Amino acid sequence: MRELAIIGVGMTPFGIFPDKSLVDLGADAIFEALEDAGLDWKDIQIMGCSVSHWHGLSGLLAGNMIASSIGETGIPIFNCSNVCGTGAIVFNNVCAQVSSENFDMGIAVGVDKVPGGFFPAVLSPDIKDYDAVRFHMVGMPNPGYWAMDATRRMYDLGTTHEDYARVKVKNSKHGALNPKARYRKIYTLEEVMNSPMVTYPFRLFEICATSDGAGAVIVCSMEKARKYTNKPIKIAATRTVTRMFGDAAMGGTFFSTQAVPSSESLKEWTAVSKATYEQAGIGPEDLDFVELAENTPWQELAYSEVMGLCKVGEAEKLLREGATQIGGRIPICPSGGFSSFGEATGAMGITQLYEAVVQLRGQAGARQVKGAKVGYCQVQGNLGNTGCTILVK
Amino acid sequence: MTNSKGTKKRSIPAVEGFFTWPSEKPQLIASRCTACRRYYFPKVIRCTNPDCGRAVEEALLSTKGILWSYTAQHFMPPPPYHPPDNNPKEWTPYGVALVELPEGIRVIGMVTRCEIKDLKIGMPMEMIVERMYQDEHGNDVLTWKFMPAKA
Repeated sequence: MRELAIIGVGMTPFGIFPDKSLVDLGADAIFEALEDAGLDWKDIQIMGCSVSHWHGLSGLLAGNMIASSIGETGIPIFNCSNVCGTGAIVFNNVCAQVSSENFDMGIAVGVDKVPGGFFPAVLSPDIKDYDAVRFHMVGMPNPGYWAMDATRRMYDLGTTHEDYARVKVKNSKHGALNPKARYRKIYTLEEVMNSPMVTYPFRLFEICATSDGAGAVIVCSMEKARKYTNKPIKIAATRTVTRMFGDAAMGGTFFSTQAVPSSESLKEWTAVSKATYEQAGIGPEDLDFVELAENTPWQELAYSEVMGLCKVGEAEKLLREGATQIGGRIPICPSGGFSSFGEATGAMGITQLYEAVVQLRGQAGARQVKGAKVGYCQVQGNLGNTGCTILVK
Repeated sequence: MTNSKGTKKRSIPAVEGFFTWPSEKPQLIASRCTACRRYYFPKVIRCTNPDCGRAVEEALLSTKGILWSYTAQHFMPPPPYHPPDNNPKEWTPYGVALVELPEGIRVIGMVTRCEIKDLKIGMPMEMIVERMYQDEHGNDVLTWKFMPAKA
């Protein structure tokens, strides 16, 4: 299978844009990526696009809707939902098509306009849909299940409320440097700790908001890439997994877990990281920065351990030492993370790649991770939908 | 007691099939693998342990366990959640428990008869069936909840 490269990236700023439809946002990101690569829409041979759950048929067929607004070239389009993992899974599948030589030029698009507040259930006439049952019978919307894992972490490993708040503070410093970020204010520890408790142990400023946003990434073979750019970014690895049996971490839409030790948690994260490192031929010590799905501070702490940046129980220390800040040993979320953008569900896996490419090209300005050569991006969603990508300069 | 239709007031699970009802001592309805004896809640089609994958049978879960973890909902959830008195203005925060049962499974459920501040990992909990809210006909709509176990 041939080596692949990213030759163009684009993303919209994140925010709430009542005057912009899903199609408008997707098109904006696509045009920016096409311009970045010096291409026209008709050069794209395959499109993968995220599904949005909140916009009827336009949401389910987002890719088709966008294409029918910008150029009906008749190319194969797949619309894909793997909830918060979608962006990485769309990207992975576009890569599979291009690397198998079915196509030479593919685009992976993520776009969403997510309603504010707690996610409601995606309603259907079927009252037995498990996602609706947790509202009907347990009264627990997101982020309740991460919150349970976060409470257990405090018990098992001694994580404090202050530790959680520090993640937000750190990422807000990164977001302040990102012109695409929705939230560019630097939060103090006091502000975060004094914000109202929402879903124990998470306070308001510790739970990422929901936003409108889009991203697009153009993939082609490394051989062809050099025709278009002198800074092709190598796709060293892309892997996806789903929920694995016997995991102590409480997953959304589920009502139970097997009673295994807490250490048997986030098995899908551990597995996909390992598989991605293997495919790339590197280890966690080779990474220059990480973009991960930090919906809440718990994710950043727990994920940094299972992906091998430090031992279990040491993520708080890594944070306190400044290791995960830009300028530190292994910056996490140099973009500012989900907390600075708010989540536009299907877009996140793609906008992480945008950040990684900008960093690896040395174009991140004030956010630049010096000497960045290897970047790691990972998103995770409900039902264990997890995708991981390693990009190399 | 009668409901608004003038018929006898009913007590009905919000969704059928999660616990035995009607019952003096309702229990959660699970699957148990006929080979490896693992439990699953709610029911599954077959054992989802990839090292096993054998047939499952229905089994009822114990009602007493230990609090493994919890969260607390401080803001009212959106639909299809129903506030208990059908009045969002009178809604109050509640805990949600993750309770480890003797069958080797941990189950979530709303917390009842316990202040959020009194939830402590390791405390004994007990499952009961209680009203979630009253529907438009005056019937009690039920769910399973966890309360501190009686000594």
